[in-house]
Amino acid sequence: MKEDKVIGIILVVFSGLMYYKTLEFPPAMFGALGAGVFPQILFTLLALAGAGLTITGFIRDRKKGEDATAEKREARISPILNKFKESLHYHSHVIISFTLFFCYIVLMSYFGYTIATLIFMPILMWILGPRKRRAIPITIIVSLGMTFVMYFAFVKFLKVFLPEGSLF
Amino acid sequence: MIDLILLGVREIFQPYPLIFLFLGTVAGIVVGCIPGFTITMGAALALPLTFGMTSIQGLSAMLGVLVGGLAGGQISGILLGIPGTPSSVATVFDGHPMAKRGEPGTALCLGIWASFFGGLISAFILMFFTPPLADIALKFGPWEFFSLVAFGLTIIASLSGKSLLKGIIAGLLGLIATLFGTDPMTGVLRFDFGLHGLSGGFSFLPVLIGLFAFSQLMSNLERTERAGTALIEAANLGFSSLKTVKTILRQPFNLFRSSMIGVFIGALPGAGGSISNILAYDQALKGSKHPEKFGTGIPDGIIASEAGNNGTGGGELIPTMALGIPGSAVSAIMMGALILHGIQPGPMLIIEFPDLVYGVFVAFFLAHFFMLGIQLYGIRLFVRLTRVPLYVLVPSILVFCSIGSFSIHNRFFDIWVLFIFGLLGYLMKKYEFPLAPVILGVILGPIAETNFRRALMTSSDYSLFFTRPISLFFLILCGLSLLYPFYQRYREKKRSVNQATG
Repeated sequence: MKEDKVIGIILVVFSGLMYYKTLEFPPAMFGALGAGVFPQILFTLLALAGAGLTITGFIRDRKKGEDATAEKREARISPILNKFKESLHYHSHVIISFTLFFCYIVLMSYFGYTIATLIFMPILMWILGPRKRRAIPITIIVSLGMTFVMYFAFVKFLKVFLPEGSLF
Repeated sequence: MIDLILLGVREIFQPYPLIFLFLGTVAGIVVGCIPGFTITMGAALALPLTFGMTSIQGLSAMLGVLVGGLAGGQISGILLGIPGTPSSVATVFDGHPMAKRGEPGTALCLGIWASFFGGLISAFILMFFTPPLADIALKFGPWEFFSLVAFGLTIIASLSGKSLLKGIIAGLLGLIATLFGTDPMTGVLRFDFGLHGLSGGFSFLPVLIGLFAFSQLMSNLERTERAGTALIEAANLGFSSLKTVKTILRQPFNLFRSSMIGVFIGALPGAGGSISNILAYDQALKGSKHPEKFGTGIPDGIIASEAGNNGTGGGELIPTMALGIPGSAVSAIMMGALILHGIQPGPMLIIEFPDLVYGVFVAFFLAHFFMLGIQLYGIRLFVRLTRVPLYVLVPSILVFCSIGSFSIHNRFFDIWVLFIFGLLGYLMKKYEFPLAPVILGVILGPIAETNFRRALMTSSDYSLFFTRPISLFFLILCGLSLLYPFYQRYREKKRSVNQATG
């Protein structure tokens, strides 16, 4: 996989940066190991594994030299842009959901749990749903129901707090 | 022994533990029967609800999820040919053909009873093997513990997923996630990047829900056209339990062998029901007098795979309860539940909290009776439940995930952690990194680090890891489990060469 090589490089760079950060930790005292030793071991191992991933990626490519040329031919037939569009369509709901969830968290930090959920649920349900008129009552009922069921389950039954917004 | 078991019985046979065990089993069957939802996801979602409970109530609920999930995966597998969880892949091989032949009820009933028997056998083994194993582990020093954890992690990496390297990277990422925040031994702040929220580190719960529930939900949304459609059509079901039980008991050897395979695979850290049900099916096929009938819808195949995957349940609890080394992602979550209640799992657990440990044994045993009753009488309801469309499920569960993550420490930062690990989990799955090693790394990370440093504090001699026999034994196992995938590949290559020339 082409991605493997890139992921490997990212891991090596990440490990390098984090290792550098561990050098700031105070050194060991009274014969005990310092806070940095165990992280240093782990980041060294991660860097090695990442490098391994990149290298095996290259080796596999060389073995599959013929396949690669076939792939290239195919790539010429269906240009990269088309492939990107296809992948975008395939992942559209995932991307939308992640983005909306991000907005949901931001909303929650300002307006608190109840208002944010009452905005987030119907929008996401509408986008993921069949987008037909018959979905409207289900969307409204589930959004309202879920918001209040969660409120009662956590606040009344489990006696925990719900996120409060900074504005209210 | 008997008095200890009675102690467990006294813990469980009280209204609340029984109610939560029952509800957990129902929830387990629900997540089991919806394709795309996994048992691990069910356990992760159950975790925030267990805060308000005592530790034994919480564990009862999670044991219910485990047992219900292992048994519930067969419903959609048999009726639709789509396994509800990875643990019931092999059930489809014979279960679905039998259902198509017009006997869906018989197929389901066989699966339910085989799960029941397989689970009971594993429950007995769990009860008899955990205490002696914990006894041995009590003699361990920090060297042995570090080596044991290292072994646990390598075997997880080598057993889960196609690529050993990716398994190792996943395990390392899990270990690394535990480094953030305050160092457990010296109190030094590590990698907080000036963020106040990071000073306490990533808490276990949002990491877990993000990796196993959030990312799983997102993967379900991938095929655009599926989001709006219902998942399953119902079928007409009718069966006779008496006949089914007779069919199963006529194959005692198949039943026993499959359950034992389940127990053994379960006891290996990292290998769970997804492996044991296929292995049990494969062995049943190889040992059968009529292997050609497998795949056409014969009872033998259903019995083997379902007894195998429920056998795993008892197996994976053995190292979890005896050593504090979880047998799979689900038992890792159960360990997490214990830690959240302030109880440190490990070999001391059975001495310090015998009521709890034997309570777990009894609850696991009892959960199978609940599972049996619920499925035999409520199967139609579960079939209907699987038709709830994804566009209703996903937003609702996302909201639940965020509140669940927040509720543990009342920290808003934890919802961001949920988001980050949800994204990470999704990307890892996308690029074929196994997720189970991450969560085991998260659970085992602090244990590994503390024991490693404690060992070197006791004596700065690194060679002690290799000269203490039990520690050396685990390190050798560690090496072997890393080499095993290479041996496997070599053998496969040799076999394919032999086939080509022969």
